[in-house]
Formats: sequence, structure tokens, C-alpha cells
Amino acid sequence: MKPISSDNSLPTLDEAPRFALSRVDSEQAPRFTRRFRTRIFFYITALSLATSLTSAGIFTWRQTIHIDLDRDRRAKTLLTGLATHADIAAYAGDQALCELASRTTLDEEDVGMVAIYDRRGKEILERSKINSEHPAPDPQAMRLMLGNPDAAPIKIPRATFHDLYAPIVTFVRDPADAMVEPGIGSLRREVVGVARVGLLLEQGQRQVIEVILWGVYLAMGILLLGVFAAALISRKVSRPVAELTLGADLIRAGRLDTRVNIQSKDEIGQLGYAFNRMAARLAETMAALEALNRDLEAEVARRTLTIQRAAAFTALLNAPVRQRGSSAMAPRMDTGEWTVMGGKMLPTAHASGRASGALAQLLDKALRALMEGSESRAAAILLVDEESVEFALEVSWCVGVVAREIGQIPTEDELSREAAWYDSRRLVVPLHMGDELAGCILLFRDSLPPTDRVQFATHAASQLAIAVSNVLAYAHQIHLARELRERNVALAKQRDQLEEMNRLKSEFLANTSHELRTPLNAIMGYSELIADGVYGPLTPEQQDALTGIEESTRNLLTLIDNILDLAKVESGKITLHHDEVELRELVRGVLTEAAPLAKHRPYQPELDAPRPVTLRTDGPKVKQIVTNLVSNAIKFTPEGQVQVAVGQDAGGQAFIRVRDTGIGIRPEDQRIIFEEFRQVDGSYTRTYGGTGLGLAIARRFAELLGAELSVESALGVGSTFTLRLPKEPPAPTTREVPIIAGPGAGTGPRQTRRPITPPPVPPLPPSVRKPPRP
Amino acid sequence: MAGGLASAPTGAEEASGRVLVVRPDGGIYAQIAEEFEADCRVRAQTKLLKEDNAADIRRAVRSTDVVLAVGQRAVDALRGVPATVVAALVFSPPPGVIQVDPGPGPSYELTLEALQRALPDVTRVGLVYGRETEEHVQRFIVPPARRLKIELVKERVSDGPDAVRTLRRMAPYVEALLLVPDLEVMTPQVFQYALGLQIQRALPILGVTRHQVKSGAFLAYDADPRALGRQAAEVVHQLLDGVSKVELLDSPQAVPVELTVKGDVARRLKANLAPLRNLQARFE
Repeated sequence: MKPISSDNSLPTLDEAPRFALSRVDSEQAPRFTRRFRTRIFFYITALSLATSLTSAGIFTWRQTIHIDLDRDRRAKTLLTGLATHADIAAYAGDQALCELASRTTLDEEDVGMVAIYDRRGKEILERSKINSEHPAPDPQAMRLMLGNPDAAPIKIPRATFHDLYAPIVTFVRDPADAMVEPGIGSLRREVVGVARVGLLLEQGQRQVIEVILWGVYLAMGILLLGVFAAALISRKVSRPVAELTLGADLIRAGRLDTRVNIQSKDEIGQLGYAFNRMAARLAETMAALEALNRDLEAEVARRTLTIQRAAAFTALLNAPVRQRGSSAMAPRMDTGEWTVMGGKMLPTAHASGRASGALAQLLDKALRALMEGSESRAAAILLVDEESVEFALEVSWCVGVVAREIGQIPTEDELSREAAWYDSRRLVVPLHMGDELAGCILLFRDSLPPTDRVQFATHAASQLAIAVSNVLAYAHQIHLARELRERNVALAKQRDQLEEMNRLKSEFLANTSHELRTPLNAIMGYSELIADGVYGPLTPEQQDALTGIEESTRNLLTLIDNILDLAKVESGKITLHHDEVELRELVRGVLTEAAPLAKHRPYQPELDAPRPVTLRTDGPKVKQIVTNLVSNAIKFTPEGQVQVAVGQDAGGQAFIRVRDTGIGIRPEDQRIIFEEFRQVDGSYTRTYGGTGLGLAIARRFAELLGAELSVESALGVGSTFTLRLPKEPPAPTTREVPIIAGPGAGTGPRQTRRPITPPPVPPLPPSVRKPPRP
Repeated sequence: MAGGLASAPTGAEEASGRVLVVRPDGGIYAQIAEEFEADCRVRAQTKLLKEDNAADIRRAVRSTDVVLAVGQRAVDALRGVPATVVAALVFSPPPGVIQVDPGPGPSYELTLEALQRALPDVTRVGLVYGRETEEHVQRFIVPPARRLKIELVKERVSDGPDAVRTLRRMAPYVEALLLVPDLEVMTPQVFQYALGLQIQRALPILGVTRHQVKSGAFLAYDADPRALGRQAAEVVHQLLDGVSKVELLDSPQAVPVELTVKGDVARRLKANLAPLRNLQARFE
């Protein structure tokens, strides 16, 4: 420890700031151009100046107040004395006596005027030394003084003096009582006059000026004392501070053995003592830091090596994954046994399982890296078979293979809780895939593993678990992809077979229907000829039989026509012919044609069309849709009403609404009535007849027209079918419609069909040629 | 009321007579009343004179045979009552009131003689008086002054302030001041001013009562208050015994007077005290 003052090589205190500045300047530090001593000097001087000014101000203020109070007190004394001395004079109203009484008062230097007035306010005496101003007595003050013996003196400020008034009071009592005994009888005060004194302000002003001068002297005196004290204190205070500054600068320069020599017993001395302790502690800390830095560097190098090993291990594990797609990497997962790699390194042969493919390569590389990274003489990786159902037992058994060597078997809980379990020679690290225990790593060492080796093994275990998981997942993915391809090929083959079968069915149905229609037409024609008696008269029984033949034939023909229509739709070639169509006339024609259907009904279908509705659409298709709807309405409405409305909604869209009060449709059945060959109930067919194709065809035609066909119905109340036609028809083209849904529908490509052309009908004899009834 | 006294008494109280003492509050008045009550053979009722009970007193007087009025204010309050009034220590008695003492009149001669003995060089005495005492001065002061060869410088004044002004003018020309008990003139301020002259100009003040001497006057002759009380009891007895009021009015009562001297004033005036002691003077 070297005190600064004892070191001859160090600058003196006077040179210390310059020394510090030069050192600081050399290190590009800010310039310290102000001196602490100067600042203290200026602070104390400024404080002294403020104190002196404040003191002088307070002194002057207080003295001025005292002067004013003294002047008032003196004025009161003079006035009271005059009033007391002049009581007899005022009582007598005698000027000579007043002169005598006021002489003493008037002789006072600051009294400029004296006056005495009698009890009526009349002047008895006035004597003045004031030449410039002789004001008359203030009337209000005179009234106040004469009217009240107890009135307090009044001061009226004038330009050069204070005009003072006081009542002159005497005591009045009974003269007889006064003669026989002064102390008895009633006594009262009576005003016998007014005393007035003019007190000059000049003397007071001189006193004020004198007080101000004394205030200035006082301020200057305090300021001089303050300057002297500032010089003294700044020198005394700045010396140890400068020494501390120099000491701090030396320590900063690296001279940690520097100590300051401050002997004072106050806070500065305490600061010096603390500075020396700080310097000593700083030296100790610096030494400790250097040692710590060395340790840290060694630790960093060791950790760096560990990280590098871990990174190399991670890169090693990632290598097989990057080779996915190679057929050679697909592992064989069909052994169902424990898989043990590096079995040759284990002292027991219980672990006889074996991995294959990429997994085997991965585990082999991992074992080599683990042995190298953990500085072990032997290593093993044990994996649990993923299909095992006795997981805990097999883990214990698995670990037990090695645990028998180390004399202790860790439980599954221990393996799950602890990151690593080891004794002096063996290190067991669990492998976790997600939340499941998938196996463990066994490392054999000759000594207790250091912490960084344990950390490395733990890190390697986590990376290895991920890598194994990736390899297994990749193998599983390859297996799934292969299986999917095989299934797709089989499905495609099945789909082609179904499509061909469907096409053959449709062609057969269309051809068969057409072939049936031709003879049916012939049957109907000959039946009508017979009924008309072309071949001779008929008996009533024959007539009834013919009628039955005719109705059955018509039904069969209708069925065939519907099948043909449906076949056309399903074959995919429907030609639309759009033209201007007036819907009201169209519906009126439908109702006319449907009138025979209602000849056995107690009602006739009604038309509600207040105005014509014209739009561009395919009229025959619309008519067929409406005919189907009206026929159904009449068919399912034994009694009640059938009404057809034609119009346009608020948006200008045309609609045709067929409403009946028939049997109605249950809500759950309303979605199936548009399907082919479907009626709500089989009994309907028996009761009301029909093929179940009318609404299906109507729905298909509506779709072709871009229209919408919907139903609203309530069972037992009736039904309402609404056809909403678009404002503009779709483009006039041949549209492709999907084939009827069947097995395999929707899985294969849509096919289009050629329109089915009906075979020619054989001509009838000219004499019997008549078109069949619809 | 005298008639009332002449009629025969009907009962014990009537035989002894009904006496009322009216007096202001105060030491000397109480002294006289106490002495009177001590000497009076009948029990007297005393009423204090206050500023607001004059009417009550006048009602009480109606059932009274003799009223003793002590002091000038009591006499003034009983002025005009239909009763026989005996007055004590009164300076300006109204007509018809029986005065216990002859007043200061006979004492002026004694006062001037005492002055001459104490201060033989004093030959000119100043005097101010008012309307009430003009006759008094001519009757009781001028003759003895002439006999003692003392020059009287006298002047009639209207009131107290006039008296002060007159005394101020008179002071340079006189060697002593004689005070008269004129109630319009002799105000406390006049007495105060006279005392000032005594101090400033060494003018001896010849007072009227011993209390003026006590307040600063040089000397005065007056009757002892207790003697006044006893004399009042004597007069009341005479009235109760049937002596007529007129008879008592015509024969002034003889009450001994005493000389009172202010010692320190006498020494300051360098007065000759031996003759004063021979006159049995009381020194204050």
C-alpha cells in the first residue's frame, strides 16, 4: 500500500487535476475543464450573496416597520400629552393657557403644527412650522373627536406630514362633592376640545434612508465574510477530493496498489478509507476474475468439444433420413423380437434380435459415435418392439440384460424420471419417443462418467430416438404407399367393368322399350278398329274386354314412353329447341288435354293466370313437365280442387304452380318422389296406377331447361309443385346428362350416350290407319 | 310640617317622631349619618340618594316628621317637599331649610388670620366668585380682610372656564388665592388650576374644606363631620321636642370648626408653622 503523498514519482496535489486531465485526454475521454474547488467557491459565494441580500432585505423591512411603528407610537404619545396638558386650557378656552400647554409639543423637531380647538370645534390656538401647507381641520375627524370622549386618535396622511387628532377630555363631577370629598359622587368624562398635531415625515424618511444604508453595509459585510469562508472551505474540501481523483485515475491506469492518505475524521476521511478498501477489494477481485476467466475458457473449450460431438452425432443420425426413397433402406419389421444392435459388444447373448436395412445402418453408426463421444469402451442400444403388449416387463428384462452385469435393475419409473442412470462404470440412458419409453442406451466405462459425458449421452439419446422414430415412420410410409397403389389398380379395374355393364343395360333397356312400343301401337290400332265395329258388331262383353285391352295397352305405352324418355335423358343426348312461349296458353292447353282425366272427378282443374307470361324456353318440355304435374294432381286428388297458377314473382321470374287438395306427401317422402321408379308407397301404384317415372322425368327436364322444380306438401292437406323457369334459357345445345346412378356411379368418368333411335313402326292398312290416343 | 309636629302624637311612634335621613353614598356623608343615628333618640330611617330614586324619596318624605338631608345633593333633591328639612354639610341651602352649621362664612376670618400668621408677608389675596356667593363675599370676607389689612383682589365670574381665565390673569398680581364655595364657579377644573398656580407661582390656596387641603390646598377651616352629625341630632331633638322651625332658623347653630394645614405645602411655601400649631391645626 503506497500513499500518494509518499510516492515521489506521482504528481503533487496541485498538479493532480492536470495530470488526470492529460491521462484522460490521451484516452479520448471528455474534457473536464471545471475545477471542483472553483465550483465550491462559487457555490458558497453565491449562497453568501443570497444570504446577505436576504438579511439586508429583512433587516431593512423590519427596521422600516419599526420606524413606522415608532412614529405612530410617538405621534400617539405627543398627541396624548398635548391633550392631557391642554385639558384645563381647552376647558377655559384660554389661548394663553393653550400656548403654554402646547409649547413643549411644538418644540419637538418632528412636530410641524399644533392646534387646539374648543368643545364647539372653534380654534383656540394654532401654531405651525410648516410654510407650504396649512390645511383646515378635517371636519369628519373633528366631528368624531368632539362626539366621543373615548374616540381613538386619528391619523390622516398628508403630503409632508401626518395630521393627527385626539379628543381633549376632562372629568366632570358635582362641585359640592368635589369640595367635601374628591372620591365620592358620580364622575363622567366630557370632551372639552380637540388636540391636533402635524407630525412631519421628513425625519422618518431620513431614518428609512439611514436604515437602507445600514442594510447595504450589512449585506456587504456578510458577503465579504462569505467570500472569505468560501475560499477557506473550497480549499479545505477540494484537497481530499483532488487526492481521491488522482487515486482513482491511478487505479484506472492499472496501479491497483494505489492508496490515498486522508487523515480527517469526517465523511471525507470515511470516503478515503472506503476508497482504500475498494482499491484493495478491486485488486482481489481482479485476481479472482483472472482465475475465473481461465476456468471459464477451459470450460468453454470442453463444452465446445461436447457440442461439436453432439452436432456430429446429430448429423450422423440425419444422414439415413436424407436417403429416403431408396428401396434398400426399407427395414424389415416382421421379426417381432427385441432388436439389439452391437450385440457383439454385450457380455450376454440374450439380446439376439437384429435390425435390418436403414435402421441397422443407423444403429451401427450411432453405436460407434456414442462410444467415441462418451469415451466408453463398449456400448449397446436396446429397442422395444413396438408390437409388444408387455411393455414394462420387457423393458425390465431388456435392461436386466445389462443390469445383471451391474448388479442393479432400474425400474421403468426410474428410467422415465431420470435423464440418465449410472454408477461408477455403467451409464444407462433411456430412449423416449414422445411420451413412451422406446428403449435405452448402455455405455460401459472404466470410471465414473463426467457431467459433460452424461449430457452428451442424454442429448444423443434424444437425437437417436428421433432418428429411429423417423426411420420407422419412413418405413411405415413406404409400406402404406405401396399398398395404396395396389388398391387403386384394383379399383380402376372394377370401375371399368361396372361402367361397361351399365352401358349395356341402358342400351338393352332402350332397344327393348322401343321394340315393345311398335307392337303395342299395332295392338292399340287394331283394338280401336274392332271397337269401332270395322270387323263387325260387338257384344257388350266384347266391348268391355276391348276397353280393358285399350286401357292396359295405353298404360303400357305410357310406361314405355316414359322409359324411352328416361333412356334419352340417361343416354345423354337431349336436344332443346327454345322459342317464344306464352305460358298461360301452354297451361290452358295442358288443362284441356287433361280434362278427360278428371271426368270422373267432382271438379275440373282451374287456371289462375290473370295475365300472359311470355318467355323463351323449350315449350314441349315445359308442357310435358306441366302435364305430368297436372296428371299427378288429378290422380291423387279424388275430390277437392286442383288449381294451376301462372305468373311472375317480384324478381320477374316466371313460375307455374300446380296446387291440389289431395292426399299429400309426408315430409320424409318428399325427397324420394323425384327418383326413378319411386312412389311414396307401393300401394299407391296399385290404387292410383303409374310407373313412378313421371316426376323423375319432370325433374330431369327441369334441370335441362335450367329451371327448378320443388314441392311443398302436407299429408292429408294437399301438395303444391312449383316450376320456376329462368328468365333466359341456357345456350341451345345438346347437353350431356349423367347416366342413371348405379353401382360404381360417381367413381368413374361420366359417359355420354348416343341417342336411341326407335325402330320404325309397321304401317297399318290405309282403311284402318288412325293415330293412337295419347 | 311644623304643624304636624305641633299636633299631639297619637301612638308610641307618633310620640317619638318619624325621622328620615337622606344622603348620597360616600364616606363623609355616611360619617355624618352614623353619628346622627348614634345620637338621635329616635330610630331614623336612612335612604341613599341615587340618580333614579328621587321620586321614591319624595314619596317617603310625606309620612315623615323630620328629614335630615346630608350634603348639597340631598338638599337639592328635597327641594320643595312638605317636610321639615334639616341640612348638614350644605354650601348653598335653599330657603326654609334648617342648617346644622353656619357654613363657611364665619370661618373666613379665621382663615385669613391663619394665613397672616403663617405668611405675614402676604397682603394681597385673590378671589373669584359667582352670582350665588356675591353677598356671601361682601358679608363674610370683605370685612375681616379689611380689618386684617389684607387687600382683596376679587372678581365675579360667570362659570368655571371664566374663573380659570380670571385666575390666570389675576395670578401675577396676588400673593394668595381664597376659594369660596360657589357651586357654579368652583368646579374641579378651577380647583385643579388653582393648585397648579400654587405650585408654579407659590400662591397659597386657602380652601373651604379639609378635603381640599387633603387634595393640595394650603389650609382650611371647617367643622368636623361627626360634630355635624351630633349637632344634627340635637336640632332634630329640638324639633321633636316642639321647638318651632322658625325659631331654629333664626338662631344659627354653633358648631366648632377646626384648622387643617397641608404640611408639605406649608414647608414649600416656607410658612411659619408655629402659629399654626398654636391654633390647634391638624396637619395633613
